[in-house]
Amino acid sequence: MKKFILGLFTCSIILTNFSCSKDDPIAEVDQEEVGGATLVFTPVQAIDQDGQVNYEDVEGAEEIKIVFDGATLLPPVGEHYHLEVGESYRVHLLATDFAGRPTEQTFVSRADQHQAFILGAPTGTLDYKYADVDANGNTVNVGVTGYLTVLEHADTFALRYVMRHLNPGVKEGIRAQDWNNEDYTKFTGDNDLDLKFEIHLTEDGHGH
Amino acid sequence: MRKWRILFLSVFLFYGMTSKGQQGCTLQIKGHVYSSDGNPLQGVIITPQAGEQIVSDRRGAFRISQVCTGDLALEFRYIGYTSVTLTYRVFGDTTLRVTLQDDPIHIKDVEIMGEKSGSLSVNTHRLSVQQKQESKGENFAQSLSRIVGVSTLSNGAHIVKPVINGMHSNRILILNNGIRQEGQQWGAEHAPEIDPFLADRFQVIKGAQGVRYGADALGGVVVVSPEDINTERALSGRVDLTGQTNGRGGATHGRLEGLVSAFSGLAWRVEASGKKLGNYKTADYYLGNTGVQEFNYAGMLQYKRERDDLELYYSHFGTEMGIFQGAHVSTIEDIQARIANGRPFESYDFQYGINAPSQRVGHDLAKFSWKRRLTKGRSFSAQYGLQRNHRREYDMRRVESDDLPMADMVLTTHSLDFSVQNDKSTLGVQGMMQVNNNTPGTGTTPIIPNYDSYSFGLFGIHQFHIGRLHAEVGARYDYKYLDIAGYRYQRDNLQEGDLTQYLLTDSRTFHNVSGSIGILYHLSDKVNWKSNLGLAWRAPSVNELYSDGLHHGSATYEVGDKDLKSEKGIKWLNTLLWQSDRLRASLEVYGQFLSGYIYAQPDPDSVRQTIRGTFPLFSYQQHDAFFYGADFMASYDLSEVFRYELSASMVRAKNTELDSYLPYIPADRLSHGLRWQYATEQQVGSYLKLSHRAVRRQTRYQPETDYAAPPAGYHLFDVIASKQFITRQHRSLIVVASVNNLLNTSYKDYMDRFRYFAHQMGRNINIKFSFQF
Repeated sequence: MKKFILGLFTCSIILTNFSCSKDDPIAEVDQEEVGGATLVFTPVQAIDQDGQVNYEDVEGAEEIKIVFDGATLLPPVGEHYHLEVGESYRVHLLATDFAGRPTEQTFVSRADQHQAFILGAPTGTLDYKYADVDANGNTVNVGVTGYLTVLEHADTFALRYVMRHLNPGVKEGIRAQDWNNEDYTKFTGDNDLDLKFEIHLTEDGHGH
Repeated sequence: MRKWRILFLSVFLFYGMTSKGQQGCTLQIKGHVYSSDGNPLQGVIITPQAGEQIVSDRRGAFRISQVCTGDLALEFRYIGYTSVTLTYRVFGDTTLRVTLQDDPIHIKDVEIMGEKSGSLSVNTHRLSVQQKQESKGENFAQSLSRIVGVSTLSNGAHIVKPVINGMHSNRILILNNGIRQEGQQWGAEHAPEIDPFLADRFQVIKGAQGVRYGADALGGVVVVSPEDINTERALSGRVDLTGQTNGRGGATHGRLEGLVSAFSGLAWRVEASGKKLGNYKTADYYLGNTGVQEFNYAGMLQYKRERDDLELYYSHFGTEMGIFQGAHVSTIEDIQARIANGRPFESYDFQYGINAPSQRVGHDLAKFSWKRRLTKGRSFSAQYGLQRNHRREYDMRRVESDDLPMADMVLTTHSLDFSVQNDKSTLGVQGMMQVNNNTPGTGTTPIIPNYDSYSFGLFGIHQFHIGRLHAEVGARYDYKYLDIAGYRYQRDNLQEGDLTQYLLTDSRTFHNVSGSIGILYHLSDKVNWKSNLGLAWRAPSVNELYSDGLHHGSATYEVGDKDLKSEKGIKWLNTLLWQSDRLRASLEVYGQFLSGYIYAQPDPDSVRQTIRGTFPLFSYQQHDAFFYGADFMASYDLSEVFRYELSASMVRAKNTELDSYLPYIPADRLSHGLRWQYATEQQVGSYLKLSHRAVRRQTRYQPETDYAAPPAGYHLFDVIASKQFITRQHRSLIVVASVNNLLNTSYKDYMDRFRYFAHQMGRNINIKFSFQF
């Protein structure tokens, strides 16, 4: 009997090496969340050269910056933005990670898993061209940088910029023309960013 | 791992120290006790004229040492059988074969009272030898679902949990080799970490078994245990090999066991199993990233003396499971698009590789148990269990590599149980200590915090036997202390528009008294009635109290409530058992009232806005609920060789406070089949079986709490052909060929959480070999 109890006791001693109380927790900084995002609309001049459209900067052009931050990640309350019919804009995404560092290049460096969709505009009012270049100098369709051309007038509407984190192999089935595909959810994956803001497509500088 | 080895070694040496022989009479009598139909009887009390009582083991075997030359009288007693005293003249070592005759009125008691894990007034359902053979290679919950009233809750084909009478996860208790299985069982996508190859007996007890087993046994108990080591032969074993077309893989298992000749009474067993499957296919298409691979192993030492049984057991379960990539959803918009499409948008090819999202789970279990038989049929048992559950969940990450887990939790559980029992009573004390730690560095806020949990229980059960009536009463007291610490977001206090984290610390104490009362009444020699009224409870789980995070796969944001109270349930289970020469049937009817039933309730007025999109907010609430239903099972011998088998079950569940249906309650189901035993009775493993499974559409649901209406009902046909070859004594080979979903029916199941995205598995052709030597 004593031997049995001794054996049980010995086992208990050995096993007490396993932790008997919880560790002090360490705060995790959520790296998977984008910390903040800014969309910058810069007016550019579209130049058609033998059917090939190039975009050049316009000196003194005034940028439109839409900042999404804070807990709600919504643009400033009550703001809406004007874009001119006939004008082209370079749309550039600035994103920051959990530590406030620029992170938009991670989308380009993983171009096989990312693509932005620009949604919500009335049919025929906008045109968009992807203009990202990866580290090897190749053009890739991601949407961190692109050119948006306003084709027709439209009253204020909510425009969405969705940066899609795509499942493996999905990107191969997406074309550049899908930039405004409202069925973008069929390109399965996750949203890294889903930015909504109100926009008004105006003619001859006539807004309100 | 080194600690485990040290533990094994120390106990091995400990055995050696206690095995010295004794002087005096040196003869040995061994033997087996059988029923009149040839089945070994476990638990027969054998009383020598002079000497200590002994009890036959699971093989009906017994051994009496230090017997003197001359006459020896042995009394054999076993409830349900006529007691007998036999006298032998002993001149040398003797081997006996004893057959006990049935006592027709009390024959049903044998099944119940000979089973230590069971209860007198609640029916115990077991997987038969044939069912176990047919289920080899399947996961644990799929194997169990052959038992009437047991269904499954799944996330695809590999992450599957058992559901008993509509309850799952923290509401059922799994007893793995005598130890409460403690993993992260709160999660609907967390399957039990049990390899069916390493267990030989699967039993389901559906009553509220809170008194005997403690907290959480609200819906029922699953008892999983290995056979005793075969001590009749120096070396024996088994090899299993299974293959299946759907997933293009299979599983293998090997077991070796034997005696240690240097230590009389010491036996050993080692075994290992492995599984590898690639993407599985529905009726029409493959599902990407749905492979699985497992490697499991176990070892056991058993030491038996006249009065003592000691056992040391260790097992490791290790699995890696891919999660269908198309089920990874981001927003409500995503999930609705996939529901509208009815099937995945992408086409996938077959592959074995597993990528994110995936799960890797390791579960180690060590057990040391000691049972001492005392005088007058009393015995004392002590058991220590140690479990370490390591769960890592991987997802497609934005910043870090996909190889870095999004969740990395280590749960360590120590348990210590003591009990004293005799023929009629059991008194027990149970203690458990748990430590849960989240491994830092995942780059995501853990869903559940770190915690310590201490629990203690004290129980007593007593049985009465008055003529045809048998009764049992039980009472239990439980205490649980929970202490947590974890970082959470301060959502109600934004600092300059930004979220800040704070350290949440909290402790909770739970007390509960539970009880049970039950009867077994022999209405006739063919019909028995069992009735059990059981009160069980559970403390709210850590995720229900403190979760605060996004659940991919369901596109929900879940928020716990740290003020939740214990959930208590009282279940009344009535069973009618019929057994005649040709018909065996059971009807179980139950009703269970739950006070403070805890569930995640969608809040239609509240969403969680993140930069990734908008998610519906589910908050944990508790309301009273009522479950009721019935399970029916029958087996009728149409002739000497043909048998018809049928099982059917239904369950209903409502939130009685809100008068609403509860989600994820199994739909009505029926399974029946015809079996042809085409070989002699000695080859019970030689038969053909055609079966049909029918599941109705679940019509009792709340549309506002689900993304889609439950899918249509379905019918499946399966065929099984089994052949048993007995090559020579102690050797047999069983070959089972089967086709599941014979007609390759395309269907979805309401209890599959992937039903939004994909169909269930299509036709699957299996071949299984089991060689025993």
